[in-house]
Amino acid sequence: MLRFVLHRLAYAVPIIVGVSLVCFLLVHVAPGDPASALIPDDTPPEIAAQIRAAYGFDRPLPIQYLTWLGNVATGDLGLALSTRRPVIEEVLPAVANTLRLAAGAIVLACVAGVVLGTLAAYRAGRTSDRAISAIGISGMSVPQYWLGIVLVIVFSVELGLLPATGMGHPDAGLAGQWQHMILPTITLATVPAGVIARSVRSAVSEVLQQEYVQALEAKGLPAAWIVLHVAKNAAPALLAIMGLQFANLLGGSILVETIFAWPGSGYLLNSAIFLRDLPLMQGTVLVLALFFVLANLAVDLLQMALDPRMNSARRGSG
Amino acid sequence: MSKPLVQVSDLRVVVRGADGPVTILHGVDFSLEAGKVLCVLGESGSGKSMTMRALMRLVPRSATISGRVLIDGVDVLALRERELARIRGSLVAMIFQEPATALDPTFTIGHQIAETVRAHEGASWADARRRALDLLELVQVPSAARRLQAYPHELSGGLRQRAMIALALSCRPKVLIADEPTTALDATVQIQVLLLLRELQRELGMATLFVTHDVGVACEIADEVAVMYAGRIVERGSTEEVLGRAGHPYARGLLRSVVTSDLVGTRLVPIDGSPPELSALPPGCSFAPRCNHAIERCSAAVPELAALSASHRVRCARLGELEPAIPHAQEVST
Repeated sequence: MLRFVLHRLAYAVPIIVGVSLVCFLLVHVAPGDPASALIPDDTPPEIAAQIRAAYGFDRPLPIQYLTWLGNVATGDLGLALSTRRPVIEEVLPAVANTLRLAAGAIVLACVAGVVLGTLAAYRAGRTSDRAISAIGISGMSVPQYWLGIVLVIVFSVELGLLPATGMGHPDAGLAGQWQHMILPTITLATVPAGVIARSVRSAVSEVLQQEYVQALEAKGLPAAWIVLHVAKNAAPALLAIMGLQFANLLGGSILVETIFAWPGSGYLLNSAIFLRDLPLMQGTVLVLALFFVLANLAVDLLQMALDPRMNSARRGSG
Repeated sequence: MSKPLVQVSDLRVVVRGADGPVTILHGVDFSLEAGKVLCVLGESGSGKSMTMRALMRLVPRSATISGRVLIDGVDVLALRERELARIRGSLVAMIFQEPATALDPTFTIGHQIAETVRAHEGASWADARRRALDLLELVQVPSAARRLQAYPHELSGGLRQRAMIALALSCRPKVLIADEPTTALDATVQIQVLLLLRELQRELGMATLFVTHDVGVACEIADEVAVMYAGRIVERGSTEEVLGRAGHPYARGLLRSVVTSDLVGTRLVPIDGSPPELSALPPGCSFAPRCNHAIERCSAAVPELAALSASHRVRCARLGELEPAIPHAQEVST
């Protein structure tokens, strides 16, 4: 078990290095000089060269990468060009805000998806199953920017129940901010809820067709105990899907966060792109990618803990 | 004669299919006394497994069961879901054909046995596990204590089936249903498991319904034999009667297709044709289209189960007209 954990952790290292390389190059393959945003057009060439040297843009790329990587490893993501503040100080609070929405959205999506999907699987082929499938497909295909705006119109403009944008006073804490979270959380949750409902339906109905479910009935187990068996069998495959959905949400949605002016990573990335703030963009993408890798790692470990067959396969081969 | 423990009368199962309802069982009748073994013989699709599942109401939702099933005085078809769960596993238990798919792969053997004990007797986990250990020892699983912690995929086929048997016996059922319990096993393991089952059946005095397509198995363990064809019992009686003096042409064909060492140098005699489509059964005797002795009368009406002796019944319109001897495999003439 420990061996597998270490093994899987070791696998994550080259992925993270690769991610960092891509993040670094992202800035350098973009058209134009990374420093050009800093340098007004009428700057004399000597001054421009000085600025480039000050940011280290005149050195060879591999050296720049290694320097950057060394800084990143110590938590220094450089300075944001637009605000002159350390990138890390911009990124971490934004990621924390996104994480808050993502956590709310994934909980909502999992609860809705598992309940609807399980119900549909148990009533396969009946009207309720078809109705749930229709809901699931709608959830997956409704455009988020449209849904976000509709929710704002209905709940904020017409009914005046919930705030339309922002996250409230920064120091208010969850108690003062939860109303601001509701609409963006619902908007974010629809797609993963639809995906999860469909996956749960197919995973559970596959398990229900297995002979061991009939054997559990033949043993005379109460229905609730049988549901537990079904859940444990369907869980490994579903966890992977839920984890992936969560990882997607962590990336933050540029559209949703922009509509609701939610100061998360998507919102930050959007402004970094518009301001051509390359260090900020780079830092945001890197931190998000790291979260993505970690989320996948966590899913893998959980999956293994749940599935004894995977567990002993590792034991056998490792 | 004591009162039978299992009484089945006019058991019918109809399944709603894409092209309308299909009748899988056309009124099956039999009874079984405590401590006896009834072997149900027949090819795949003859309805023998469905009969067994119908006894426990383990049929797909698209199926409807009618008739009457009395097990130890309990009218199984009239029970509500909850009451049904209470008798399943405790009054009547089932051993499935393929333990690899009938055991939950994500729980240990010990857990799966213990939870059954807990469900029926409300025992504590510790007590239930102790019972599970005793049961694994009863079915002669070596190093049973360690095997309790094993997952199904960690055991060999033979051990898995022993675990399945232990599971079925866990709440001391009065009736044991074994649905081809040895078919999925290697030949050598088959015999071990069969002997174990016979020993346990005698020791515990369970009435046992044993489904098989293997005449040799039936011969080994049965007190009574029923032969099924296309959803009906076509012949039933004591083992000696059915295996020794089969009256139905299909039963005779089944016996003729047994391979034994006496048959070296002879040509096997198969039953011509294949089992009928259940959705399009011929009128009259279902076996008539494949039967060498069929005459016009056979297709007129479904023959009744007529008595050859007090216990021996045969569903054949030409009963008594056909020569009684069973011609075994014919000498190869060329």
